[in-house]
Amino acid sequence: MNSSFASGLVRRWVAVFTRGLPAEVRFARSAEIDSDLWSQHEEAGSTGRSDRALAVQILVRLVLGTAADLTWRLERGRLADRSMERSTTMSMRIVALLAIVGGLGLTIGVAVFAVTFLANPDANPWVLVNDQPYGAVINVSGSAGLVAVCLSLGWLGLVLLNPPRESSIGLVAIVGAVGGLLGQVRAYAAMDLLPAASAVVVLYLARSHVVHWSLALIHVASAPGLVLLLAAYSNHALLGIGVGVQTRTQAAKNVPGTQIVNVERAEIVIMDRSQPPKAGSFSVSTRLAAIPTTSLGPLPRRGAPWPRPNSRRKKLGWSQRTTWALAARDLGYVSAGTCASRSSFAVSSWAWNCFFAIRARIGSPTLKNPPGSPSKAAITFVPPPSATKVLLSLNENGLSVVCTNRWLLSCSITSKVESTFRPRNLARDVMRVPTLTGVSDGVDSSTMEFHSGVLVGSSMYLNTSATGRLMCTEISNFTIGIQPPWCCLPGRASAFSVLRPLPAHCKQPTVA
Amino acid sequence: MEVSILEASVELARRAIPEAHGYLLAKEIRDGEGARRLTAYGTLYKALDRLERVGYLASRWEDPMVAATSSRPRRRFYRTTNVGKTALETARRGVPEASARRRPAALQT
Repeated sequence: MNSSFASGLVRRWVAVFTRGLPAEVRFARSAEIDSDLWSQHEEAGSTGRSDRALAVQILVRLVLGTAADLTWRLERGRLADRSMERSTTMSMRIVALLAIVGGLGLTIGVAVFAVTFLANPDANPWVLVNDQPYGAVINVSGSAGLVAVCLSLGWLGLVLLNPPRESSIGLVAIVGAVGGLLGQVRAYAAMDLLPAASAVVVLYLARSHVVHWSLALIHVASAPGLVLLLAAYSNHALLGIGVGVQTRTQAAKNVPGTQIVNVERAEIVIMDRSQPPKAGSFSVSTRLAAIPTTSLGPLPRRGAPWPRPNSRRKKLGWSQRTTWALAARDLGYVSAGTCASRSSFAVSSWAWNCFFAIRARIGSPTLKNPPGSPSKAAITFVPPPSATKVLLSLNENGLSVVCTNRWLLSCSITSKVESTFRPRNLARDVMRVPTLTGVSDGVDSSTMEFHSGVLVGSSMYLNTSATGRLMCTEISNFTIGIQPPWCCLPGRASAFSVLRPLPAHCKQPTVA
Repeated sequence: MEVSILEASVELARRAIPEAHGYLLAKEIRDGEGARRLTAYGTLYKALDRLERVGYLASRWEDPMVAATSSRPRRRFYRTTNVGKTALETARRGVPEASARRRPAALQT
């Protein structure tokens, strides 16, 4: 080691501990150290001191002074902070205060949630949110924190909108703040704007040297985490990302009196089929998958028929319907994007809504109801702006709950829809379906419905129509993707609407 | 350390060196105290900074042309102010309690 190397160490150390200080302070200290080192070298040269001894002397001076350097850095940092504080306006103080309050609120909420979750490892974490008293703390603290953060961001946006500051960034901040506030009134999709906008704003602040880059990057990195958290919350799952693959070959049961039995899952509810599906094509379907709510009673056991309401048990039947409706609500139906639309099996424009593709290898160019089948179907529309269609159907064997995206100021409607498929009196089977948290991982849901249909021209038709009783259908499901919150909201669509009178503007059209 | 710096500065001024840069002060402190080592960088310049902020020292940067002519970095020269001399005298006297409370923090080392 020579003196040049030691001098280099000193200069690098000066660069390190003066980082972040005002430029004049940083340069002054650096210049002084340079001058000192130069003088030290000069003296060593004049006195004939060896280079190694000089290097040792420099290193000793460096090491013994590091503590003083650090304390000086802290002193200088505080001075710089105080000078910045003096220069801030009242508006910026309000922004900072709101941000601090928001951070505290969120921290308390997350901490209580984490403690509660760790104490109840077997419970669904999102169920805990609704538990008392912890749930109240989590909700109140978290919501208050989020509101404060939104107000802080919005206020900052207003400040930035004033010239001569950055108006576009200010606009982004305001949009993010509004999105966050909308999320507080259950427009969860809009809440995604909050982390996105705050990330943009923080990057701008870092670029303007208002916020340190490291803090800004941490903040930006946390933004996708919040989006995934929202997705997980909407999914009633631990993760907002999941991959599931399932391939199943299902043999249909004998169905007396029918020609062809088309086996489909309830999720793949085919409404009117005015246009033939393309064999091998992908259709985005409504998915029925969730965690059963045991408190509302077990799901029907495999193969058991669902009780039917009749005149004698009408009241009980209605009660059962209600129970199932509630159960279905709590099951957390997800991805009620429009799927098999009334007009086509083409990939819906809402495909992005759920990233969930089911390749229904039905091998059939056409699907029609048997001639003479009564067809009374009602579809449910949610008023704009969501305009999300709901496609699940109901036949008299049981209740299927219509679920939908529910946006701010919209209403979701649970409708009773008579099945267009025959037979309607057989047909239930509890099955496991892939979920975003894994393949068939403790998730019971949905019913198998055995629909009658005509698979004209298909190989299956040829293979089975001779018997008129049986066919085999392979349904392969492949699930992959990130399920963003805006496609998961139907889990919170209200099945209670069954019991509520609908608002006048939500009257559903009936399609015969 | 602050007292040592002021003493070194005053001593140099008495030897017709009214202004001294950091290394010269460090050398003067070492020689004056009979020490073997020079004051560490951090200790020395932190104390100089504090003394200047409380007004006991005044500093100026050397003319860049002079430094360039000598082919060396610019130096920062410090000189003791009158306030600094007074404070040093007070510190040397072994300060009474009442005045100690008024004594600047820079000398309370």
